Amino acid sequence: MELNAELPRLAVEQALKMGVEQAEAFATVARRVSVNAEKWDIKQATVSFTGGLAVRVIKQRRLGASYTSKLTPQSTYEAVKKAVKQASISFLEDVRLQGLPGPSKPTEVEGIWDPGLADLEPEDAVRFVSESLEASRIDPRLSSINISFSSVSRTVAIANSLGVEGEFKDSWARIDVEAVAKDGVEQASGYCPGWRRRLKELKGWMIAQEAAREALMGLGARKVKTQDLPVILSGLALHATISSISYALDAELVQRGRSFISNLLGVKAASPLLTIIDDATTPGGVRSRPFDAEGSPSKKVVLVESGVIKSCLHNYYTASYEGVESTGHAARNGGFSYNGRVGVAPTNLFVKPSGKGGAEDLASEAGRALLMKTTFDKPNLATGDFSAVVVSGFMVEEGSVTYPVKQAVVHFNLSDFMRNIDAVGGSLEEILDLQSPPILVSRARIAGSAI
Amino acid sequence: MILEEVLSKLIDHALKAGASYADARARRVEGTRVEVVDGGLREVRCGLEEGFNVRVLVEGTWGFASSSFVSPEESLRLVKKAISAAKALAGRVKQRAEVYPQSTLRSKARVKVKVPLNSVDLEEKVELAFKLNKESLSLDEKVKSATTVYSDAVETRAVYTSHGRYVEVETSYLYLSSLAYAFEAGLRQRGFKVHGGVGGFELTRSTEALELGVEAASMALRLLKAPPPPSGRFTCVLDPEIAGTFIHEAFGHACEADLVLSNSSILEGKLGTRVGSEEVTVVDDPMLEGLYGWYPFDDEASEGRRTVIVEEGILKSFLHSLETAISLEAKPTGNARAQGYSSRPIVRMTNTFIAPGTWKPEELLGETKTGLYVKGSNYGYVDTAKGLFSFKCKEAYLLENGEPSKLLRDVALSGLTLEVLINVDGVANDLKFNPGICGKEGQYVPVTDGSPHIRVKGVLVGGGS
Repeated sequence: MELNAELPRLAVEQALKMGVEQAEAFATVARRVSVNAEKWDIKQATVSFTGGLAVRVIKQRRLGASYTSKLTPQSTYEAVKKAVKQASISFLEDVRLQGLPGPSKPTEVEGIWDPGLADLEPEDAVRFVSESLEASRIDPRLSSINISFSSVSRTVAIANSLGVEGEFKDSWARIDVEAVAKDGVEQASGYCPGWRRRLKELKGWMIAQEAAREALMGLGARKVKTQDLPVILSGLALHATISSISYALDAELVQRGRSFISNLLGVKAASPLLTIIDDATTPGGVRSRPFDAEGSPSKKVVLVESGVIKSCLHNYYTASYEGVESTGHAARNGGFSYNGRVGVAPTNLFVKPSGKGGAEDLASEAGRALLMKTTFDKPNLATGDFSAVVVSGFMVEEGSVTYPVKQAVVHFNLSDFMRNIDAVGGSLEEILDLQSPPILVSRARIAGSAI
Repeated sequence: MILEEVLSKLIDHALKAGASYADARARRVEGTRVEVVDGGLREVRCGLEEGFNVRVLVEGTWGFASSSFVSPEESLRLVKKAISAAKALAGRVKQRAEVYPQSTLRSKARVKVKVPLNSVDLEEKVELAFKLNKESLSLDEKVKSATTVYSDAVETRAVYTSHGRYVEVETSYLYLSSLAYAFEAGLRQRGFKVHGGVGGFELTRSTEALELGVEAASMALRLLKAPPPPSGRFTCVLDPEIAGTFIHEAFGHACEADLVLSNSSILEGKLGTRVGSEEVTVVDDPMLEGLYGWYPFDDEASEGRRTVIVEEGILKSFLHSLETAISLEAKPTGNARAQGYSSRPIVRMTNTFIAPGTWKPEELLGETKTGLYVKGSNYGYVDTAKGLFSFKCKEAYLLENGEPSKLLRDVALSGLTLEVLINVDGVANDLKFNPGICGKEGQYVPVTDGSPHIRVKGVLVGGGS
């Protein structure tokens, strides 16, 4: 399904004719091929075609917005009419609204488009999933492997009345593997995701084996007592922590005083070992793109440098209110959804390695600690408080990773986490949109179930 | 061409192309969202989404195709895509899928509405959001920031199946939320309240809706002085809101039969066994009018019905689609739901609740000498394969001699699906419902969680003090 690149320009022209001061139109089409497998067996293949157009118009500091999933000139006209009507209702203006971004050259970003994914047929996806399933049969105690795979190829186009005009194509493939292992009455599970711009870079078999190993390693889990311990963050638990810090740097949260980092810009609020970078220009990065969801060029932004909070993530709304340049982090529902509100979202996150080695090396440095690999919890960004259930975690005794832990909750505050980093590893883990070495924090409260 | 005719043609094509079963769905959603932030109109957005999909079963394998590009040519192309997707699985599937046979049916249903959403001017919706936002901000000078969101949607969905069933359902949803931030002496706290349901603009006139702004701000103010909770195991009295999240996350998901079949539920093989104390009865019922998970037919055109999942502590039934019902030799329960036109139906909860017991809420509290009184729900999730759940409460009080004493913030509760209902030793008689959005496999659908006050022993509390 091809995107008619004329539609956004047409929508902008129509809006201006209807008397608004500024107008923007954003359109996208995507093709998705998905396959899912349950209990070692492939269940279903799906093909979907989606597309839509979003319009924003500004009139006397009032914003009107609309969207439609129909990409015809008639439905575009209807969407424009709706947005203009909304901007014309007589309510208080938004004093922070300064307009839409002006034109600038999109950043050249390599490796975000795989023509092979655009042509991927269900047969190819089924073969990929079958091979991943077969590779995961590494132990008779594994009772089930479930896989969800999808590939997307997409075109995005944007135009605004100030001269912004851009279009790009991108693609990605993602696999999520859940493994279940049983030993007698005991049951454990493992979960691993993988996400790449090109299919050949996505090693489905490796991810399936990793999930299988995590499930097997979870057998024999023990309860621990409530105690204070050093914690090593790795895997999805590390992702939850670092990405939450970047979400807390959403400039709108910071400006309105809603983030625990609100008063810490320019302040040395973290260990000198911590440097976090958001880079939407990383070649082949899963969140790389030439421009953001309102057409501002992509940039590399240092969020935390050697412990000093350096920058927020801005879209044009937050940047122009503060009188600074947008960092190119406008996002619709976190990305490029035509039906999403334009907000702010991080892109590819990178934590600079500092020491040597991975989680095992940090374990030997810590002596006695908890290695937390998976949680699905998220912190309270207003207070920074983070209570995270240990979905997958291990006790570290005498410098070695020992038995798996069950029924435990780790509690720390993100401000304390940033200050109390004892060590940052040297080997990068790739976890979805984050590249980071594992991190050791000196102390967190572990709520355990053992009496 | 009317919708029924379009969908029936798709099914004809699918059957001619070799499908043994096929169903087709069309969905159209028109919605409005108003966001007022700190006394300013941040956004007004209206949208229209429509599309359709076809699902086919060819020699025991499923193919599915969907599109937002609605035209007769596109629909034929879609059938071909679905058939070829199913054929791509040929020879690779060990367990051939089947569907539970259904009798023919033709029905149209519409939600009961007093004030249709499209009869209300946009200005009135914006005015309501402004009013609630102002009430948050003017409650106390310590409340410095607030967001109010009004959103509504009118949805028409149609399902046609090769069993000769056609259903069309028109629903309208309304959702209001208030988020407030309070500040004092370098501390920052937030309060959050939602209200919503299925119906018309009359839903905004309830006491809960009218008090939303004040309630969110009051909560933020109260929490300013609250320390984090202690860590360890506690007896907890849960209010209806958090008890509703509790039953949904801690137990409900593990009863979804697709998870049972994929070996991802700790409840596999437990039908007919004791999973809870005699106090506990758990029900899923999409037919409860006005609730956010309401529907008369699911996305496979099966009748929505009341399913008793747990009766006096015994696991009685899982929740089923047509496929899981025949696989597990059960009857369909009408729980196959899809988020939108591009999603395939999977097994979901609807309005899920713990049935009321005999205790009075004040008796439950009064007879709990030490523990926590936990109120309100921020979010929750479960790892059904491990049977491990977690949820976050809005606020909690230490219980001392049966009296709520010190207020605590950011309380996180966790436990195990197989232990938790056994540990429920008191269910009160004050059943209440709360709307929510439930996510599974990337699909988000409206649900309601409900419960009276309940008491649970030995809940793991994660806290920092």
